[in-house]
Amino acid sequence: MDDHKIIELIRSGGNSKALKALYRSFPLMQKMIRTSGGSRQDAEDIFQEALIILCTQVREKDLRLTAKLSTYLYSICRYLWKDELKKRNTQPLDAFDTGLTGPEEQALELVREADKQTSLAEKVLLDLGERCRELLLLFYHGGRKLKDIAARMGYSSENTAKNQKYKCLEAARNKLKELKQSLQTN
Amino acid sequence: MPGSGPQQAQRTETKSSNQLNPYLMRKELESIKKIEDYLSGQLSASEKAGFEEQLANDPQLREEVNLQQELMRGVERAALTQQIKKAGQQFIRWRNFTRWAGGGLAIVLIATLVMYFVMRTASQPTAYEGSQLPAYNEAGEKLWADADKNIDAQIFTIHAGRDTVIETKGGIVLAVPANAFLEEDGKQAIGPLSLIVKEALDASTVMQAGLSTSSGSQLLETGGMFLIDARKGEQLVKINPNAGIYAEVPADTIKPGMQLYSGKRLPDGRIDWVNPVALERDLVPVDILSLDFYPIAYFDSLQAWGYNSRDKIFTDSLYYSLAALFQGDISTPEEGGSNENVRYERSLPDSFYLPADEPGGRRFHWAECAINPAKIKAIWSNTFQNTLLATREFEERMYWIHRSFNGDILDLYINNLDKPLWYIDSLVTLQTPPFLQQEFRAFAARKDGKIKNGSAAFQKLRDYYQAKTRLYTDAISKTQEAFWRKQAALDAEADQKQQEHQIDADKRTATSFQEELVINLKEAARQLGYDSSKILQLPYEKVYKVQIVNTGWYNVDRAVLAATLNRTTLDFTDSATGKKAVIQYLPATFKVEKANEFERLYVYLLPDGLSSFMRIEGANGKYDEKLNELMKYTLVIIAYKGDHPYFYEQAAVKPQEYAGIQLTGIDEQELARKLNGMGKLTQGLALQKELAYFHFENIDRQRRTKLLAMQELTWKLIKLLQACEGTPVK
Repeated sequence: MDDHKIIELIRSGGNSKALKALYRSFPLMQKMIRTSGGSRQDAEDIFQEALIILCTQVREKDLRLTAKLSTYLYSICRYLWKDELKKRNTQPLDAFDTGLTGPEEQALELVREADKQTSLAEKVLLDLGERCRELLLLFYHGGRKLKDIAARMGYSSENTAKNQKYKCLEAARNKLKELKQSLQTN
Repeated sequence: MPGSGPQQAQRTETKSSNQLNPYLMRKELESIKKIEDYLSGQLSASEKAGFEEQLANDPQLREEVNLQQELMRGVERAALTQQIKKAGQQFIRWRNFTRWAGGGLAIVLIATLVMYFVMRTASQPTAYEGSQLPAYNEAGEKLWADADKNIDAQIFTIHAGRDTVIETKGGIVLAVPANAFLEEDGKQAIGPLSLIVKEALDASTVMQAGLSTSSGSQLLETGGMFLIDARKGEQLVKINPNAGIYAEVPADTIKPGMQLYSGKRLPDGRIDWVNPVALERDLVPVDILSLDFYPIAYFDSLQAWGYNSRDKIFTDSLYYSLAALFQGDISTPEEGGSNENVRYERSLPDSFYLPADEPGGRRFHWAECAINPAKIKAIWSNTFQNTLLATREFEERMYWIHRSFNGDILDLYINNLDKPLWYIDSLVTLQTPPFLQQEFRAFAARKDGKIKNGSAAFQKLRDYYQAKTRLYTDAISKTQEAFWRKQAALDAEADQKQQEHQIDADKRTATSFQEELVINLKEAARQLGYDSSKILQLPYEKVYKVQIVNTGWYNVDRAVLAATLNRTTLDFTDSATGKKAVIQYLPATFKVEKANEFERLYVYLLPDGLSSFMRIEGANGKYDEKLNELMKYTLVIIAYKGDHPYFYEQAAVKPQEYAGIQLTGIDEQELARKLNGMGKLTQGLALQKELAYFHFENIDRQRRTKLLAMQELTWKLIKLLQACEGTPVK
């Protein structure tokens, strides 16, 4: 699948196929991380975060590709891994080149900053309980009709599902508020 | 104007619309809905403009909009993370598959070779009749022993597609399951078949037939000899190795160590007995209640989710409650007749819906992909003591039966209680997905038999099982439905009470404000030397309708209104007379010790000039209010640890800071007595009503929290116990 097609798929919501194609670069990336002191889990985590950032950039159309998509993905991984190594403070980093230009790195940092906020919201949703999470995902991401959701999740009516949806949102909002406050005070 | 009028009217309106609409929405939820409509662009142009204006002036609303926006992004991220993880798993699975695909091909090749071999050696046999023999034996060879010639054939016609039990003249009982035979090309044999049996069960027949009882040079003790052959017309058919035929050979005494030998015809007409296999072994029954028939992972998951998995009453009732899922599959053919009374979301969906655009999307019924817990309840009881279900061996099978998510497999065991376990195991291999076939084939090979002298009431047990399954499913779903209906009623009641309480509180605020305003006006008038009787015609609303007498009055009226509303000191000078009116509002602060140890803490001021009390908001044990110098206040603090009330009282509160307030425990009755004797009668009564509501609210909150936890748990369990969504876990 060529890069153009992958980008088109991500923009039109056809993530699974695009991700499948992107995963082809995983072994190479895994090797890079494992040879520079990372574990298998590190490799998976870094790759996942890189994919999230890439998809966000593609969707928000703030990506000017100067190389192949897989090369760029690889660079994001190197960038993230370099940052992680810096945090762990274990490796001499001079030789570790991300292969990105200065502006590219800055753009990446911005997306990453925003993504940190978003991941807070995601964390809140994960802590919310399976039922709420499923309901919100089906509605807001899946674009499912409340009628279908009610049938699927066993709510007695569309109206109950709707009301439940607002309750879940309320709980999530309160939790997110709390979480942010606790992060600020700490 | 800020009097009680419009505010109350609005309240009443919300109340009546709430009564019409059962899905009553709280204020907070309304706000969330509004924000959502704004974010998703569903507001009209004028609504949008109005909302944005509100947004510009209200930082709290702005924060809420931001949070909600972030949550929407969080939802997208969560979905993306899910997709990424899935893609990752698929990638790894695919990689693993390509690694062992080479091995898979080799297996296919070998299978083809064997089939070829069978096809080449087998040829057309002729029929048996009396002592006449066909040209080829059951193995397709032109070889017969003396015994074949000397013993007459018994020929049974059976139907390949049906379960058949036959008994020979000598008393051998053969149970032939449906589809137990394969044609030469490996296809399932169908239609009528001939089953040929030759038997030599007693010593004289054995000797007359010229049968020997030796294996190589070893002498054997015989429990009976028999030949089984099967033909379709004149063609050979083979016993399907996955099905097998079950044979019971009669014996006067059971001797240990008996084995089954295969006969090998020798060119000289004798038969040598080879390849001994152990005969099935008897099973030892144990107390069925000591066995574990729960699904795999049930205990572990409960434990992991923080529940007490040792409490059998809890684990039973939780597991069996899921039987309500199967209601639609069992009793009522007309389903989907929605019950208008059930307002509460039922915790259990009666079918599982995969949207049509997902591969394989359609409506599932639970029975297709999960085992009805009522079935387990039916068998896990004393009724099935001393049957093959009450054995450790069956417990082992139960583990895999649960893994199949297929109730039919469980039915097979219960419908065949009279057969040995290994026989049922081999029936199972015909119906299970490949990954389970192996397991059940291994079970079948163990030759686990029956319980000696086990319960013989097979038919009755079968009926019992079916009836009880139906009954339990029915009863459990009714109980569940009743439970949720009751919760819905409780919800409605609680919502109603909450509304009423809110209305009371609003009314109280309005009345207090009105009363305080009158007091302030009177005092201001007194200080300025006005005749207050002209102005103060109650109710207050009418004041604005009388003609304004002079500018001074008009101004002081507005100043007093503002001061009362904002609880700020009034300092007014009449420009005409130069006289001053001053009414002071002075701050008081109350700090409660160890406030965070109380689950609920309520702080009230009882002003002597007003008919009701004021509730003071605060946080972290610190409560602020501004006191009107014209009134005397009594401070009342009530708090709860669990159900135990704590109390503090302070008369003649001064505008100052009260630090280190310590509450003392008090019993309910004493508290009621204190409140009765406090302030004015109306204040005491209103306080008690307020506390009664808080008490109710507290209990109701606990109820709702519990319900939510229950729904969450059920939902997680459903995901664990069915294979409707996705493939079964291996």
